[in-house]
Amino acid sequence: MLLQIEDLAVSFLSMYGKTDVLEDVSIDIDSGEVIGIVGESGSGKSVTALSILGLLDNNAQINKGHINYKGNDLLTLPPNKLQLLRGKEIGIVFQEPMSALNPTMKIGKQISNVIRKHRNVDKQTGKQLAIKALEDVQINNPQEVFHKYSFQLSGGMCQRVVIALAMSSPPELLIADEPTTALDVTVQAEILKLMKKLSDNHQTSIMLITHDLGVVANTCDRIYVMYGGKVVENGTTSEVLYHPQHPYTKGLIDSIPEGKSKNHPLKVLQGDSFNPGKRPQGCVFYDRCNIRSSKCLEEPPTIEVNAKHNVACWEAESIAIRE
Amino acid sequence: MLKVIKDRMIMLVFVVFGVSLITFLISNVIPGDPARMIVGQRASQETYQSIREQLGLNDPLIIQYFNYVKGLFTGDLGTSIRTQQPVLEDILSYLPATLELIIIAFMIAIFFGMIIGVFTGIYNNTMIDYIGRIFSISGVSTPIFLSGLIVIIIFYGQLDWLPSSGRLDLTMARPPTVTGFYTVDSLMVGNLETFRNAVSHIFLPALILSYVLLSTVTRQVRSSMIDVLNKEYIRTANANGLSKWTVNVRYALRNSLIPTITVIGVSFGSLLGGAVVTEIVFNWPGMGKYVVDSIGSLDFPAIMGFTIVIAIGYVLINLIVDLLYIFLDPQIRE
Repeated sequence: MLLQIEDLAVSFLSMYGKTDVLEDVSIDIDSGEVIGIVGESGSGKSVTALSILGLLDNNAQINKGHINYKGNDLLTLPPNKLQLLRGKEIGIVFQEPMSALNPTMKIGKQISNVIRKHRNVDKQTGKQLAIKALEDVQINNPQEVFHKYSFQLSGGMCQRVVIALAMSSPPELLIADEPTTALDVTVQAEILKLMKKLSDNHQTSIMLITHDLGVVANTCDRIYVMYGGKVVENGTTSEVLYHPQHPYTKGLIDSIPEGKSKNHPLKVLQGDSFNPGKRPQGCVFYDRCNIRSSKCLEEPPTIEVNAKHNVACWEAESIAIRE
Repeated sequence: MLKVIKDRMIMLVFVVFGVSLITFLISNVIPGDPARMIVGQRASQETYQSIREQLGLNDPLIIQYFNYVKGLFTGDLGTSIRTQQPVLEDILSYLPATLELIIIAFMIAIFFGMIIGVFTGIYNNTMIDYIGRIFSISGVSTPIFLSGLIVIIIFYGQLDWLPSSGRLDLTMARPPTVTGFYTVDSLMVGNLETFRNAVSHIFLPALILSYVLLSTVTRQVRSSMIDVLNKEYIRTANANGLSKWTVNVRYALRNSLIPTITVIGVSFGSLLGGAVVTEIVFNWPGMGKYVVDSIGSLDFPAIMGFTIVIAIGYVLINLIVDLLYIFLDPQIRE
């Protein structure tokens, strides 16, 4: 096991009080594995990712849990030790490539800064390695891009640069927080292919955070579906996508437009998206669930559908018992 | 780059023209007769008239202005009524004292303003920030004549550590003039005693003059640091494991400077105004003291000359600010 998140619970503090954003989130990643974390805005995907590297804002408070990485708990690791892991062993790619790069520093300089930090090389070698890193992310004219600024590049190019930054050491784990959401559809596929290829070359595990089930289906070995700060269902990609158990996962799959008849209205999830300020008692999905019952007012247990598939739903339990 | 310089130089001509027109008109509507000031109340009518003729005061206003502008282009700012010296000569002899004061105050303000600004920005809403904010708010809200008197009472009156007025002790010989800055000139000839004396004299006035700008810089650097530190590229830099120093200084501070230099350029005017008051409080023989004395004796050529020199200085500072933008912000450069 490379990284193991155990029962992580995070709240945000504000002048209005405390808002729980993550509750008992547990996620595992093996070496070389690609996992997907799927969920809508506010489901806690990004908070999970940021808490791994200790990048949460100051108003975030970790209530409980552990993040085990190679025998260390990242949550209790001293800041200077954690900083040594950042970028070197665990890289991260963010959603907005244009704003993720320093606008007043040349691309090459930003990459060589990171490379020199992690590999302890002199300026000249740093520059060569930076150009090599740009080549690795399939930028055609690395010499030229080295001397450019982020505002002179397209979104897709910027995301390649951000990936080059994250992969520069190369890391054991790459966290990709909606890496393709801000990009054109045509570019999305290229970026995903690139990440997959790099991770294969370097045996890097990927935690891919997205709200796009299509992306997950093509890329990931396993999926975690999150809703309202909880993992509601997880399992291998084929298990979760072809035999979804949780009503939320089913709703997500039903609302994909591809492959559906044009003559019928597309199914959508009813109700408003999750509001962490109004967390329902019991099951987080209670307000929007179409199969809810009185049992759901209590916290659902996590049920093992089979060895590769878990779900947190009372209905799924009764189905399992019936079968 | 050259285009910016060219544009600013063209603008400078218009600024000088406008400033000269306004000061000229003001000096003519203000009650007060320079000729009468020169000859005194009891002089005969003939003497009075001949002085008026000599000063050109009997010419139509437009001719007077034309003659003045004509003089400007040849570097002639007129003759001071009070000192009977060419105004330009007067100003040039007082300018180094003021420049020395302003430049040292400027350096103190920028240096410490940035340091305090960076720390209060990084440690936003902690004790460091609160102390820094109290310090900077008192800076922008304390008038120089008050803070000046307070430090004179403490460091001269009570502790007797530092002198309260002048540029050098009266018994001390001036260093040979090269730049006109006593601190620099004394070092050039290696005279450490004079240097120490000059530093002890300039210390308090420069400190007091710098306080306002220092506070402005602190507040600006603090707020732009807070702004920049919340940017996503700072999160990226942190996520890539760059050191605190690199992130805070090479990434955040550098980008915070872009809005800061704007404020510095604009505040330069208040530094010039502050210099006048500081020179009075510390009896510093610079342009500010010269112009206040000139105002007292309705010495219009001197006042106008001073105003024009200040206006030119202001335009030049803003030219430097524009050039710094080009240096700091590649989006403007490319």
